[in-house]
Amino acid sequence: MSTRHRVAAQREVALVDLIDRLLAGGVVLGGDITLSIADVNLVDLYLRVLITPSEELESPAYPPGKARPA
Amino acid sequence: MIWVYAICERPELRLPPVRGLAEAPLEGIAEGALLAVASRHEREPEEPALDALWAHERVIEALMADRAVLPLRFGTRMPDADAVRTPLAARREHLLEALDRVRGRVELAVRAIQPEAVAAAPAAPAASGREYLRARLSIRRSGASLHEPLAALAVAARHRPDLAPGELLRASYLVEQPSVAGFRSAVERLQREHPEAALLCTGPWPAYSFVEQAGE
Repeated sequence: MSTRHRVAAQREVALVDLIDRLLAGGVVLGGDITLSIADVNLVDLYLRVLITPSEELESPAYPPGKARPA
Repeated sequence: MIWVYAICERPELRLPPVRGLAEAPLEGIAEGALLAVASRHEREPEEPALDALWAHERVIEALMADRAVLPLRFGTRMPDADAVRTPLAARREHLLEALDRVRGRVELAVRAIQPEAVAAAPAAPAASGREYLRARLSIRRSGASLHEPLAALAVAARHRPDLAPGELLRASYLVEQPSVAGFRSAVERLQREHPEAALLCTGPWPAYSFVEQAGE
């Protein structure tokens, strides 16, 4: 695997892990839980991240330190 | 409306100098020993979803630098500050216990996949019920042989039963901060012992997978 692809793969994994946790974990305090921001349904986004190379996703604003290779 | 990021302890501490969704400033809403961290918005923030996810995460990580933090489920909105204080007061004990549970600890995510099985998808249908069961059992065993040594290094561990095709393990480990490096080394060691699987470890994350019950 080339370095570029490896980095992209790590980035995808970190994003999938983040979405996994943000949508299924965390304290539920009540109130109104929205999964849509700027008209993007996050469940659709999650599925898209799973199948799309990360460089094609718009602006992941990804913190570089987050994914580390196992 | 008010967007809520986290509940934390020590309301007297200054909030970190990070911005929330749509660059909105952070605001603390105190209730006794608890502090909800939020931002105010006139309307639904118009921010790309990915940016919003990382903005939510960034606020929580900044808070974790100097206090115990319970991350909130992404997307939690309240009409006003009183609507935030009410559940904090009602669930005070649960929330304080949860803060004790996560203090000084972080979550690490581990996923194990069988690259060959993923490449071969869709999986060939099992020839018989017995073969299907054998395949399922073998996945469970492989997952357990990866999960158990990692769970032994963690304060708490959870693994998801709903695995995707080719996935052997999808798990979260609550780890003492000083043990993170040791945990990573253990993942690397397991990777060497299990060349048939690809192990992916990300984090440290806020303890998303270990706080759900605190709000109930």
